[in-house]
Amino acid sequence: MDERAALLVQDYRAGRYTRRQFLGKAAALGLGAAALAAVVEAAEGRQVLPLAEAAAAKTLVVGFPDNITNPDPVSPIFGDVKVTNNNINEGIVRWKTGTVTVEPCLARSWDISLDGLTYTFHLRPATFHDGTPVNAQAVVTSYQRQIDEKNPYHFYPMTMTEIVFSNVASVQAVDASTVRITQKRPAVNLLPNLAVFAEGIVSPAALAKYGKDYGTHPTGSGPYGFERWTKGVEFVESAFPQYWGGRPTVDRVIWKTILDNTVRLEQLRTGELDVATQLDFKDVPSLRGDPKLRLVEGNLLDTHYLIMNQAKAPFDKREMRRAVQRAVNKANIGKVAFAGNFTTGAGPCPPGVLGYDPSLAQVYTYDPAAAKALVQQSGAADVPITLLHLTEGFWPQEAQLIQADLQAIGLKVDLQGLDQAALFGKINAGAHQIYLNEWVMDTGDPDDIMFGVFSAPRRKRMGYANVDVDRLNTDAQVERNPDKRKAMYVDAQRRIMSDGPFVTLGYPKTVWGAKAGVTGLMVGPLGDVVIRGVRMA
Amino acid sequence: MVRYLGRRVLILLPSLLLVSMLTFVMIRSAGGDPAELRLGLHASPESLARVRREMGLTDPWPVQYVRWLGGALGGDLGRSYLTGSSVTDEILQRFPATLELALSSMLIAVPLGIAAGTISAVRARTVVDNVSMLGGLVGISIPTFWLGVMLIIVFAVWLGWVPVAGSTDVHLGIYPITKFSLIDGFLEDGWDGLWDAARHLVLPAVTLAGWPMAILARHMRSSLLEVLHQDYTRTGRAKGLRFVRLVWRHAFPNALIPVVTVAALETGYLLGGAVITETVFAWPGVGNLTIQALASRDYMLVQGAVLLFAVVFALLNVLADVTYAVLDPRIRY
Repeated sequence: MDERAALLVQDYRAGRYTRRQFLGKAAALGLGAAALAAVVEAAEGRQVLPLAEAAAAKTLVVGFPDNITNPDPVSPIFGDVKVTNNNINEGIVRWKTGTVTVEPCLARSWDISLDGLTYTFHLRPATFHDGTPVNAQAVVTSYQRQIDEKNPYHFYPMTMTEIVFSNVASVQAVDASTVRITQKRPAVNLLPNLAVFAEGIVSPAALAKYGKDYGTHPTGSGPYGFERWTKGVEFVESAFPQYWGGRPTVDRVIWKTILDNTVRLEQLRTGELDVATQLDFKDVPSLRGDPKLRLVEGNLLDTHYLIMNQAKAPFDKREMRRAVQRAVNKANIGKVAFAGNFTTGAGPCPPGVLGYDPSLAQVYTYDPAAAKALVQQSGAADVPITLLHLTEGFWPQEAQLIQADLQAIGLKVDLQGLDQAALFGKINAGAHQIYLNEWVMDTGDPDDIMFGVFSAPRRKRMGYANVDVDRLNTDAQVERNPDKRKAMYVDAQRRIMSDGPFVTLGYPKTVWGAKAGVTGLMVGPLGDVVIRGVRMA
Repeated sequence: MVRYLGRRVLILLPSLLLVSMLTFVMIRSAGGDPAELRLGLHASPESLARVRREMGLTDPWPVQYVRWLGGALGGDLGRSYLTGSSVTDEILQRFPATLELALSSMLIAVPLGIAAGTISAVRARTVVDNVSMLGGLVGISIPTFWLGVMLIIVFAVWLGWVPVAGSTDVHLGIYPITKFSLIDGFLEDGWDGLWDAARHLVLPAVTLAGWPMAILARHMRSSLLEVLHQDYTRTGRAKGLRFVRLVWRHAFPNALIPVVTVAALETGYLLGGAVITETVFAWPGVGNLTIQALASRDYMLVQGAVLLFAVVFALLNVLADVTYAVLDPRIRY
């Protein structure tokens, strides 16, 4: 620290300046962010120094409409996923930013045994934010705390266990830098599953130190380290100098929960935010011409659908299900409810996922006359129908459009809006006739939606069962040739569509806004906001 | 007075017990369950059963309630399903922000509401009265979310006088010491920090003040009119008291008594978390937290928050009763 800085610190400690004046003067000395950090640390005796860095360094303020509840990677809440995934915590593999292509991360490379059962991962040298090394034992701990209910770090129910580890027989540390995962069957979705947010590797030392309060001190090995979290106000991360991939260029990220769409947008306009995620589609056209802002557009892996319960009248009749398929004007939904930011539905697999096939859109084209005829054939036109939907955001409007389409072919349709808890309750009890919802993919693998919705745990969701679909979905889990695998999923989708219980309405896009100087930002297909490659002018 | 207060606090305990029981039953009867929400629609019945067991939801309700009550009596309200943290911590972290916002709003609403009501009563059925009561009607009728957004657009976006939302300037990096933004701003950054915090506070406080101000004005008007028509005021006038003195010394304090109750109740509502205002202005209070807890069926957090609101309400009522004694010498406990 040079003499002027030392004097400044002395004066500040003596109370001659306010904090703002002090920081202004410190910045005026022309100190870089790191030097400024040292000065403020000397002055205030604390490690972090907000305005100091803001004055000299690059701070990215991100406003997003999700609450941060528990930034432990195993938390399935959207806000937590955004702040942690590939920012604080990284997995042994990760998605190439903006895609669902798996690339090496904490594991430099891996070998797969010929039988596809054993995966051996070779870890690269890396350090957690608390200074402890990322080693095989840390990886095993992060996985075991999810798998084993008796594990001391299994603090609360962990929800991705079933999806990620159902085929896993064992996870072992072979040596300090080698992890071996053995599967019960040669499933090919192990790698994408390990790139899921919940599989971010956590510092075991931090788990031991903070116990159940780990969430207030999240510690990983990602490009950003946790700095502080004022609940409901802001969540602050700062660049981790020892990051294995090199220190990121944005020095600090401040995440702010702004639930109201209008407010988030206005904050972007006034400059209070550098990035606002999930813009309201109706606001997008007014932003296109603004030279101060940039729009970042992309696809979420998200399928909007209607599901008909085959166990309940009138949808026990296939004609009726097919009538609904032809009656819904999907393109109109995209135009009205999503202002055109919408890809019209084909099969259940959304664009960007293996198995997406746009030609499936031709299986049922919009044809109200044919739909009417099918209703007549079914002989069940008089059965009153209640369509369940969520009450927030675009859902009521989407439901109303569908209601109008169904009424146009002579059906008696009532709407019932529910909150998510109540909707899930009804669906899981099999108490629904037809409901509107979305499937947001947890992983980038088609198995997530194909097995998850149509085969697996046999919930009463659709009253649907098709042995051929089950066989295809199960076989595809172990098919190593991607082309063959895709063909199996397309085949399964055609069979599902032929049975007709699932109307693929379409796939909404997502639009974020950023200041014009913010570059390198990409929409994460799974809702992730990766700051690593972002630059600020 | 002390005996009276003691009795009031004793009565409080059974009501809180009742409130906690009602909350317990109601949130569990709302449909859906936290395990289903947590796991999503793809969960197998086995996973669901496992998570329910881990959340302690498999025991019969009375067992769950007694377990919760046992903890609550010792100050432990359990752990939130949503955050994994202690419910007591969660609420205490957020409550100061709500308290600050509610008190600031009442600081605006009470003097202005009472003043408007008084003027209306004194000048009853004149233009002043009509304008003031029309203003009150508007205050009651405008939806908060709309008023909030309009104030933002005018004062933050067009005029640029105040920030759009939030409780501090993120770049100032104010540390939450007391969690009252004004105090923290002052402690961390002197008058500059206080000024910054006040600029953030003003729009949400004004937005929130609209409704209680209008309610108070209407109550004040009718209460004062009633007093002004009573015998003793007529006697006062007959013996030649000046009108201003008559209103100020004799009518006003008596008219204030019902208004105090209303003010206490309104403060209670605001302390329950001004959900919409907090959401619009991204204000870090308990209202937001409670709504989130309700939506995700976070039973523990909901029970804790409702208990807090019940305590606050009850204490404010006691406070109102005490205030009567100060205002009206005829009332003695």
